[in-house]
Amino acid sequence: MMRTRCTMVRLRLPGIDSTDELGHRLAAHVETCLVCQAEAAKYRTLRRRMGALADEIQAAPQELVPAVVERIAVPDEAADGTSVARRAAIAVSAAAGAMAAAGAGTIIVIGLRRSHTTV
Amino acid sequence: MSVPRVEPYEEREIVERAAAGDQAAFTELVRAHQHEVYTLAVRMVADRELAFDVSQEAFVRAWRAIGRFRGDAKFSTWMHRITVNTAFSHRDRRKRTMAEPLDAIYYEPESEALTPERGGESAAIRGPIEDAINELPSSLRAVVVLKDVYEWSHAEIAEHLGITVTAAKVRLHRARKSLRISLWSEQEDRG
Repeated sequence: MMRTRCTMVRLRLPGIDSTDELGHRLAAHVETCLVCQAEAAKYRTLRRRMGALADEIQAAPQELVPAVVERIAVPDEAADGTSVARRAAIAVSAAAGAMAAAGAGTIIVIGLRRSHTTV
Repeated sequence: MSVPRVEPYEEREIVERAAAGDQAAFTELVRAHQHEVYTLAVRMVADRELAFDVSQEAFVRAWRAIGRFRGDAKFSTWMHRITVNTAFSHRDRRKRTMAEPLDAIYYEPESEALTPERGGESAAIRGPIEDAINELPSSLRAVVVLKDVYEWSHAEIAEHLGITVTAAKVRLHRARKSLRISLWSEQEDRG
């Protein structure tokens, strides 16, 4: 049956980095209790494995650098007022172009329909 | 994997050029730090696709802020902080659109080890510890990763995650307890 001090040690172990932080009485208990020593060893192993992950670097996808480069190449609107004006001009001309293309498309369709009816 | 390293003195120069608006210099920094930043993002959000978005956004934020980078800390440390903040803002944005099933406040670690379904394809690649970390609710995962992998102090964690130092300690306690249960099942204890 688990003793009160074992229970206290189990409660404290996840939150500490060393059994020295347990306080004199509980640390002394751990020194004499194999169950608590085993439990403390598990947390020590856990912290060591976590620490080892710092050296395990995962490869970033190849698209990351180009994606960042593309985004930083776009002028920051908030910082650059002229870019906002330039973008607005581009948007207006693009809209005008789209309208012109749509108009041309309509003319072609009408032309095709006319030619279809005449055949 | 081997990551190309930039010598500190070279990096200072590159950072200065980037801070002056040199995009090519900043691209060099992105190349040098992309893997570390991506790794941290993967560990914070436990999702590779989202980690890609977080990494990209973190570098864009860094580019916008690099003029204010004073150079007191290393560039990598500064980048880590930006990545953590970006990961959290992505998580918050995601939370608004979909409910997170578990939260640190109500979270109780499960008493069984990882099942194959939960482990998924990554078990063989990254090992059980990373899988156990990925199974944690994001708020616990962030704290234990920053404390035990990146050696942040409780105060730094609390500041960056917008929580109290006590909350950071409580989350660390819960996260480690959960990891301990995941890695060494209670059955093993009884046996």
